[in-house]
Amino acid sequence: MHSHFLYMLVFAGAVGVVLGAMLRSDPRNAVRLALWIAAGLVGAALAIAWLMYFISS
Amino acid sequence: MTDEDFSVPRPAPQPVLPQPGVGSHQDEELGSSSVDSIKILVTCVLAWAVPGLGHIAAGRVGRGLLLGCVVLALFAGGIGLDGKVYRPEEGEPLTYLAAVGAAGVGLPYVAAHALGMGFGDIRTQGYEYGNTFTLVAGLLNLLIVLDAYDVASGRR
Repeated sequence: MHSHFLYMLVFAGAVGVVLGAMLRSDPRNAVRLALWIAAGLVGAALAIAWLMYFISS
Repeated sequence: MTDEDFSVPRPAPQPVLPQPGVGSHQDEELGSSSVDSIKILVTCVLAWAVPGLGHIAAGRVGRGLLLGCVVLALFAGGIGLDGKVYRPEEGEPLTYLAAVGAAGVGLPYVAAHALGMGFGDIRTQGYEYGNTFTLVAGLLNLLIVLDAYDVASGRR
């Protein structure tokens, strides 16, 4: 079974973890930054998808 | 993962200026400088060849394991989704850029091509996702190499 949303979550999570671990050394700050990056990627993708829905119709 | 917080600004390291009339000290400094350069170069090569190994070699074991696992999982996941591992194709200039990005993951890129994996299957649903995963794994590892350079040179 293929879930496009799951793929997006995995991608956003991986990018968030790598950037969070590189840019912050304190574990708590690294986790916080990783969550922000992942949420930003997912949120931006959903927002763009929502806009494209109106463009396509 | 117990080192200091990067968000706190710290003063840049001061360069060591040579003292006049102390030749032996100059030789020692030159010797240690070349050793440091070799150490930094080896760290960067290790960081490129195996994701996370540069950080492990520089003493950041936890961070190296985390970064390595995530990048390798992303790369393997991309191949598992029937994505292709980009290689230069004649007449397709953009594939050269993509190949440079994907090759950033190091030896796994070489292994994928040597084992005949990574050609991708455009008929599958995961093809485009797989392409993105393998490409971004390489690009992330290039950032990790830059971070390993900073760690090895004492900037972090």
